[in-house]
Amino acid sequence: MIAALAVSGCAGGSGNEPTAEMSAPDDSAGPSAFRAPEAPGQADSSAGLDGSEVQVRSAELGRAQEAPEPVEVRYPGIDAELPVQPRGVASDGQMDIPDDAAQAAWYQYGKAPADDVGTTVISAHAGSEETPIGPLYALKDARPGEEITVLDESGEEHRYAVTEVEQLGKDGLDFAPYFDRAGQHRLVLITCGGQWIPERNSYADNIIVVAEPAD
Amino acid sequence: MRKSLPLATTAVVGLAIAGSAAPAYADSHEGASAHLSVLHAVPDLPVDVYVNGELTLDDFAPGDLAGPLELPGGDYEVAITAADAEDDSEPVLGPVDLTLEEGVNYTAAAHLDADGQPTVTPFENDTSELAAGEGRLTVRHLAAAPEVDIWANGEVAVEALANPDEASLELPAGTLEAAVSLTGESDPVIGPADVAVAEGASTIVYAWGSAENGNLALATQTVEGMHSSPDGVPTGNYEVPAAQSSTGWIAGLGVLALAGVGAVAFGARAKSRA
Repeated sequence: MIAALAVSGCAGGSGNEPTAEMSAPDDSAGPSAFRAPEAPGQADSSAGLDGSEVQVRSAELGRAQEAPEPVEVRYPGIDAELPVQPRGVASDGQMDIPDDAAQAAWYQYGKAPADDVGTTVISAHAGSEETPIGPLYALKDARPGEEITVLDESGEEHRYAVTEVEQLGKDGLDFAPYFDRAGQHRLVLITCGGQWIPERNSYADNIIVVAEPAD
Repeated sequence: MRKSLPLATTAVVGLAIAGSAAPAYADSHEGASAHLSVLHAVPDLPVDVYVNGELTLDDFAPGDLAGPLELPGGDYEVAITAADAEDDSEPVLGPVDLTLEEGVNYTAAAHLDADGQPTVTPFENDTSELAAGEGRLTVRHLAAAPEVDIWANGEVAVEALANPDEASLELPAGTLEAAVSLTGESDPVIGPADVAVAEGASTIVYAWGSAENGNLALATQTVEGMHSSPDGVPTGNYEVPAAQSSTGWIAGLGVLALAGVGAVAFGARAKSRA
């Protein structure tokens, strides 16, 4: 039953529609049953059992402030510049990717460039009918030290330097290290490459570039 | 709100409705400490909270959530006093004995029972892993009110939930419109309100307050860290034309190396191959 629910909720038929996004609650329309809003982030602290601070916050219905979304990725070393849109998970459990290789997807459930921890994952098709040779097709030619810039919706530019270039077979590939939400902040760019497998209508490998904050 | 998630009525079948007054403790959990959050859901009663005789939360206000405290597994005594008490010798609630297991995440809620009497209920928060893209929504009835129905996007998602029970479901992350009605009725006594179900996390929604006193409200708590990775990144379902004429870039590299082109340790540029 849960699986069926997931399918109905995720299977956006049109490829261009963003998957579920959280929206800010509309406080102004809130019914009288709700307590008056307090300043967000308001917290006082008390001493814990071990002398540490205990976080106290209002449990009022609301939503934590989230970091600005990335809107563009620029990788001059491979002549790549792509607009970025937030995407989640497709109905088959894989990352949802825009059909057009000229558009990149940011994994919206992972971390944003302004976050201090975890990875910001940005992916795009190697090629597509609209864009036969996608900008990230050249990701296989990435080299350590090269600079990648991610622009977020607040206008801030986040600079990274490539540290790893990997070509890994898709079969059995564990993506957990690349979708990390807790470790050192990094940028991960992913596309496909390697051998074309006609029977699968797919490339055999993922090309994965890992970059760390440049400063 | 950009997109609401349809909540199929079939989801109700998948609900696990569990009496929560006596949570079932799992046999083994990895991880060192127990995590304990404390929710104050007794209206109009600022309190102090003592754990094992120590003042742990001073002037704890209704509607506030404290923690999580990281505690070694073991037995704890929790006493709740008036906010101006000198010590925990005259608790207004408790003392309550809590057994915390290492690696388990708990929320202890001070709230009203169905008849309006203050009580404390310990809940064990489900921290089992979620599929990528999904979130867990848990609803807990802590209000001085009879059985309620929980509505999600205009349909009854949980029927006849009684104080202090809980119900959980896993669903695609996103925002849904939640409301609470008395069981069998359709007029909301709380909401409707947007509830964001966070991906890879448990969003716990508490209905609290008193129907009689007209101060029913919702409180929320989020417990994170249950996410998993997508099963794949399918970025290659179109054969890039440039790749058709070559057996691959590694072969191209080899040719360049033979031609004496330097610095090929990491790969030739697409430009230089063209």
